[in-house]
Amino acid sequence: MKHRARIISFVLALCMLMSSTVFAAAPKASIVSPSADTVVSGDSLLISVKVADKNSVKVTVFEELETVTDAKTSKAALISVNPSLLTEADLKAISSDYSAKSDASSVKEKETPVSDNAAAESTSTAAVTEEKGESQTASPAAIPASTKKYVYTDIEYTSPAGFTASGELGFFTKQLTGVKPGLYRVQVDVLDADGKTAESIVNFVAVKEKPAEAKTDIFETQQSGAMTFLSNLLKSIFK
Amino acid sequence: MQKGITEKVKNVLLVVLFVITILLLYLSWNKTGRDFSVSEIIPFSGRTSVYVSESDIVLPRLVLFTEGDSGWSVGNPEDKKAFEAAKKKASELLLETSVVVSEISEAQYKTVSEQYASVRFIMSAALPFSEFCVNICGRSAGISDSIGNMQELAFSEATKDSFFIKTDDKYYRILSDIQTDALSEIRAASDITQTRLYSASKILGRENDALIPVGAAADLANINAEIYAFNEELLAEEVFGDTFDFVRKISDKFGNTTYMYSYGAKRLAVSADGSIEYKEDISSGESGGFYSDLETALQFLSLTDSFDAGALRLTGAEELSTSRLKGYRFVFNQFEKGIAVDSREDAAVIEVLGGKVSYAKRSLVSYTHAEEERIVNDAANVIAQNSSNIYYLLTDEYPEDGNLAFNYVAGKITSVDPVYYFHGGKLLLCWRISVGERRFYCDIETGEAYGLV
Repeated sequence: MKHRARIISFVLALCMLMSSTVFAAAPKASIVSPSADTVVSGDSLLISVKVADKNSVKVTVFEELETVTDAKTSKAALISVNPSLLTEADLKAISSDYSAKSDASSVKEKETPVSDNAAAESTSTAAVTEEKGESQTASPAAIPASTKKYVYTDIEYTSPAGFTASGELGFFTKQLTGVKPGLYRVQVDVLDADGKTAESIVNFVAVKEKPAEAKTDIFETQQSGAMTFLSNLLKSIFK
Repeated sequence: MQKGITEKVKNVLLVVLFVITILLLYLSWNKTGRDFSVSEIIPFSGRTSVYVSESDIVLPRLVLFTEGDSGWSVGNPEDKKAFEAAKKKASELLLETSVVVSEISEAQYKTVSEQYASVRFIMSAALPFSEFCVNICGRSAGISDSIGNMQELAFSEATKDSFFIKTDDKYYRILSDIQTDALSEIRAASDITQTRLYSASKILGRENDALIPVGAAADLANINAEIYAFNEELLAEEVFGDTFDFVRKISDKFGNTTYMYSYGAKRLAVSADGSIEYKEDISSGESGGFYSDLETALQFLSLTDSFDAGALRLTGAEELSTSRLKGYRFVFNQFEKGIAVDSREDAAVIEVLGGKVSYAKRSLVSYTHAEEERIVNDAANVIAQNSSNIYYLLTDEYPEDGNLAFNYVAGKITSVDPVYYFHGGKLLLCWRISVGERRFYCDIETGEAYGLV
């Protein structure tokens, strides 16, 4: 009897486990590009969103800005984040923190202190414009790397774009050009029948300037070992 | 007095006849009776021809610019200046005293063409590289015939003393002993559009290097079209030339007409559907090489009445060889505003053997008027919309679910291009989704599937 009960409970547990995977809802939308928490180089950004089952989405790109206080005037200004100070680990931390505190409003404050002497800073919406910001990128010296403090204010970089998949699967693609170096958040809001946001999917991406091409000798290893030996032999003979 | 004038006239006639005799003897010793034509020494004034240059026909299918940021900008398909600039820069590098051709790996080619600022010319038809070099700079520059056919030509910021080519299965670096800022000059000469291409990996999320467009050229519309109409008799006269008087004409009740010369040694068939087919038995002659045979083919194309052969582009070329003769088979297709016109048949196929046209087939459309501009739907969206149908047509199986079909198709796509598809009396703007040799045509705006080839 006891043995039978154990078997039954095991089977039930297995069924519950299977049902949670079999009947798990397929994602209504996912961001194909940019990949989550990546650093890209250049001045263009490709947005590609996969939308399933005739769902409707709203796609917005935000730029994350940080506050810098002028030492002389004590005036605070919002400037673009310096992407050269961010690694993929930083982006992961930013992303997970955002997920924990996610909010659909357009102005938020996030803080993920890493060092012990980090202090919270309030954000300011001063000197913010809606269209692609007139912000400047901070020089590396303005944000000490040891502090590792992420305090951001986001602004809309692109106006929200709506898209509805016409069939079982659809794609929304958009090409952004002239993108300045900085930290960006691609947000996809899945809408319900009333047009309200049912869920949000977010990817952070840091856009860096493309570094000057390192003139490494791509064709250095072109010669095989035998050819190198032969050419060296010929050179030594005819020296 | 009168006797003196008569003698002088006789003398002149004798001299003229003597010269003609010598000339005809020379010509008959060098050619067989079948090949010789009087029109070769005396131009046939009744024949009109509009010659089309090889530089108008031999063009790249795609011109891609990148800054090394994994995206590609597309050159205007109607623009020829970019390729002219590329040929000029390649010629400058080839004309130096020391030119070294070395095989490189695919990885090295991808590094220079994808990770650095570069320009790639993807040819519509593969060209024999050694002959291409002779064509652009007047000499072979030591380039061996063994290199094969050039499918791509590339210049990269990685090395200013080289250019690169991709052949059927290999990659080469052509290294010169001078430096030239080819990329900047080609870019300055080019008309770059707003269309961008990204790999299927980046757009669709499936591992695949095939390039998918984001955005497409504006001002595109469906075009009403019809089978190209021509004067059959005039065409036959131009094709047969001075032998036309000896040609038999046979017509059937279906509206097909056949013109035949010398028991079928030359024959021209004109079908009721507007297509023509020409055949000639060639028994001797020498091929002059790719460009010489191409010129022969273009001269034949240009013969044919008032059709603007400049609307055609070379889209295929392969070597031909029989037991005694060598030559080429050229395929041409129509382009409208730089966009390919696809139909069930190629616009023209011409085979040149022994330096002469041995076979030609032509099936053309002419345009009447354009309709309203179309709104271009994302190629990725159209692929997703049709993935189940494409899956079924490729595998003969219904997909278990849409995601399975999409993942399969996205991994197999080889190219996606905007084309005009001739269907139902119209040139319909479509996305042509290619999976290997199979092509699927879907409306560029609605995504409706029109056909499978």
